[in-house]
Amino acid sequence: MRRPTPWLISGLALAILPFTPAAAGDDVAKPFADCRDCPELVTIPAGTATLGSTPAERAASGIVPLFGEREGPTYDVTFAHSYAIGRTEVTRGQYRAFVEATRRPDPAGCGVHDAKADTWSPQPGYNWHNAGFAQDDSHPAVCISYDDAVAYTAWLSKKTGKPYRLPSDAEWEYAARGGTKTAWYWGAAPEAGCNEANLLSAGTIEKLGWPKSLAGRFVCSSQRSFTVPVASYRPNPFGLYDMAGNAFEWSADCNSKDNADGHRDGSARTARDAGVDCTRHYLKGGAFHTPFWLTRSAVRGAPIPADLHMFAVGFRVARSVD
Amino acid sequence: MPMLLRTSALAAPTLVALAMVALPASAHAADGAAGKKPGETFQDCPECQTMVVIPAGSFKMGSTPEERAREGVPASFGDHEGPVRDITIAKPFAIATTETTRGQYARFVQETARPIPTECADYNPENDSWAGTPGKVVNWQKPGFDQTDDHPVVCVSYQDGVDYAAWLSKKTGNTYRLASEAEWEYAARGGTTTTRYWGEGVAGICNKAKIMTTGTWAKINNSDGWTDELMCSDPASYTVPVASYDANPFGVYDMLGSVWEWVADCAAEDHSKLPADGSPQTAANGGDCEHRLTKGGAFHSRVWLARPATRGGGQGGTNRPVASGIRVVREL
Repeated sequence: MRRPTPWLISGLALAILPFTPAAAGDDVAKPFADCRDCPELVTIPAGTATLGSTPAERAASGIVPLFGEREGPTYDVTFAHSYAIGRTEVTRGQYRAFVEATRRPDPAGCGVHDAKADTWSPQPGYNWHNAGFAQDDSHPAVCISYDDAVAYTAWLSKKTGKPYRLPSDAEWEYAARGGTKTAWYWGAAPEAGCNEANLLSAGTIEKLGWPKSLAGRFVCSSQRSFTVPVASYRPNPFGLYDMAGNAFEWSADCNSKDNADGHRDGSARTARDAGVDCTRHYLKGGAFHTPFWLTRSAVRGAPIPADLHMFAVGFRVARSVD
Repeated sequence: MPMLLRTSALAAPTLVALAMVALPASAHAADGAAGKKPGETFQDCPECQTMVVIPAGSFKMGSTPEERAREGVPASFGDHEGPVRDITIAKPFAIATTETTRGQYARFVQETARPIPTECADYNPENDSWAGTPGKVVNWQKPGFDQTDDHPVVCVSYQDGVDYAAWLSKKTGNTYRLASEAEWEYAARGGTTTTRYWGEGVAGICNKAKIMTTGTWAKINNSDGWTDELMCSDPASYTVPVASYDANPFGVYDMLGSVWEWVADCAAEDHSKLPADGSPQTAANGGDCEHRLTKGGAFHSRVWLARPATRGGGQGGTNRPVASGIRVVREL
């Protein structure tokens, strides 16, 4: 070997990774909608999967114990029937139609970032049409409480005659995994995530005033900030968009300590379950401002009172299919 | 913040200082391996580097396809990291606990009246390359970013490293040299068998190594070579003082990130012909001695580059890349 190979020459440079978009496979079900302005749905096939995370995954992701303990133990779920889930998060435009049709009043406030105190507590004047950052109607609706999200599904059910509801934690995670077993649907490493999902970016950190709570974390180099239009990134193997990052999404489940009480049929924990707290529900998928470990498929976000509005929290709908 | 000096039980700076005081005064005499135990630190002269004794032992060198898939290592790098080889290092050796600092290198330049170079392969935003900027004076004294004497020296070549080690040898009567790739990787692994010394997963790397940060990115963000990349949220831009992060289990600092470190080996496509005894690849076993390798990644590296198994591609032995520095070993 007397001639330097391209590797030898480029070794010290910043190697360039080719970006090769992979379209969703042909076997992905065609999306459909129940009305012109209804959220598009994708049919998720019946099947079995292991949900939750292992201690090894949590160690590798650097999750803090408080969060991590909720994700275990792993549990096997079998969906006897297929179901439909929103292809995207509910957009601000879709939510606006609901608010206008039902004359739903604005909430008293929304939890936004207070740069001085570096806290995220509710502040008056913020709501789904003023989340504290620029959004248009193609962005996910945020500052949405659990009660708002349930009311939206009730309105959609009435409008269409179809049984809309929020997805259970298991339905959400099974759909997010899309048959994958890795921490994220793109793999085990966060590396590729910046090109796959709207995760914490330099732009968001800058606009948040470089909060101490986000120092020393992974960020994506992009100058984009806060939410992006739904479906801005490529879909997961089931053809679903933004199952990691962008906006947190409500699960239907009443809060519980961990996955030991996860339903093996994939249904949601309800008031009929022992030891659950139905005044609080929890979030899936992470958001544009969360640490990377909070965007994994298995993550169960903090339990949040059902009437609380938070600036990175939205939802996607689900419904049973015949 | 990550750049705060952290102490470690094994090699906290204060402990190192105390150990130096306790050393016998025969600093300028070769002392062989007498009395040096693994983990012990020593200095052969006041301006010499602090060295730590690395135990003899065996390890698996290189990366598996599974590691590379998990880490997202592109084939252009990953194909050179295999096959995994069993290496046995029969005798203990000492390695510098830190990269050679600018202050230590300045002393060498001063004592040897070494000419100051005018060229260094720095980042050229005009063509988005790291091949240098014609007509611009760039060198270890003026690398194009702020450094103090406790930062790692940059803009040095393989040959600079060899000459620096030879100067230390002459000065002390001991044998200093660049590490073989095997010795380097063995020291970086610190007796562990995982991808990095702390285990699997990249979590926490932002607090353990100086790799690409938002601060670095802000300085070179006109690079077209990057799309949307994972990096650390940290205003530190280029190099930081050596030993700003934790030491690995062998008591060695900054083996990942900071600056690429030259090794003694002649370049080779992969590990297939590497000697099993920890000695460097040479022309005799198929090495390309017109090109030399670097290890460890640097301040502007992606996360997957900062692994013990990573091999920085060969450069001519007199090339001075802006992100390349020196770490010496000493035979015992």
